[in-house]
Amino acid sequence: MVAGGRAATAPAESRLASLYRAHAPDSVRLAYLLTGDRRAAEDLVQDAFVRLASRFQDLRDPARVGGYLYRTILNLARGRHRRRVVERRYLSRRSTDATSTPAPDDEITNRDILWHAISSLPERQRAVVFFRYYQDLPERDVAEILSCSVGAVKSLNLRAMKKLREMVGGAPS
Amino acid sequence: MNGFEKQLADELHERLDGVHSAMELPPTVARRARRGRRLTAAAGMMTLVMLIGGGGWFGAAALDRGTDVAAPGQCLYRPDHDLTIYLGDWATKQMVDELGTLLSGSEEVEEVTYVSKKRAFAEFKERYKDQPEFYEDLPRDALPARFDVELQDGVDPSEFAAVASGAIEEVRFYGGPAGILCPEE
Repeated sequence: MVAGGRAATAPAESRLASLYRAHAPDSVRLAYLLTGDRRAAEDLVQDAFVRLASRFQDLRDPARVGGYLYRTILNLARGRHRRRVVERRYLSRRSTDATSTPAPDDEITNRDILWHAISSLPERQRAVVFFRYYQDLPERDVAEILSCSVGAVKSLNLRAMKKLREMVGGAPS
Repeated sequence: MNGFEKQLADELHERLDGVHSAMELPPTVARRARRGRRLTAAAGMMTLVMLIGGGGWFGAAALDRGTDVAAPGQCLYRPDHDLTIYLGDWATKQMVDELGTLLSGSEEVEEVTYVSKKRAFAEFKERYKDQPEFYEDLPRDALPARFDVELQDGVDPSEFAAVASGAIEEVRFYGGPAGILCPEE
């Protein structure tokens, strides 16, 4: 009865391939929304799928694969963000040039204001906006993906909406 | 959905619908996944070899059930009970209760401890607190519930006739010293 870690490589790979086809498009969109960088989004999703492949034995419910992937992407994006903050701090200490590259804020046009506002939300609020308004998921499903209560999702959504309205409302017409 | 929310949804679709991924699983992902599975399989085979050879260290519980990615030379964890009975997700409360009663009533059993999924996850997290990548993405109920069984002195774990129950998914036997066990240099 002792089970080893033997893996049925071919079926596992075929299953991974079909999961990829089903979940990769929206995974990349979520990753892009979180990173703002298409290349980084692709890399992040590939990392998430590699993690998924090593966890097949833990994930018994195929219906939950999407949620698991999104959660992994959120964690990976958070890790990436932390590393970038450290890199930026390091680079700013080394920089002797007082004038910096113009921030994206300087170049925003009216058309971009809402998108810029979405991109400036904290990651979890951005994720809630993605699941609620892009994927049209009910709050209960979003709560499961984010491993939090429905109340917490409502709160994140409220704060996101408030901030977006403020930013868009304050924009020059 | 109010006007602002509709505007938000439209903006998201306009910006994100055009973001596409590769249509098929990229070969790099398949390769990396295969490599990960080979490491997992190697850890499992190592466990099996040690069990057959009667060696003193067991990798079965190194990282619960198949999430092991222990390479030769790494230290492994061996629990301080004699066998673990993993319960299937299909097991009802009644099935689990009956199995618990049967185990507790066995003359060969010294002690039985039920470990829920929640507790199994908490233990796993504590054991690998320095390696959060092992657990940070796992769903809280990813690890199965189980019974940890301590047998009476003199009862050979591999010969213990575990009661038949439809609740059981897998049984693992242990032997030798408990704790973190490392291969000799």
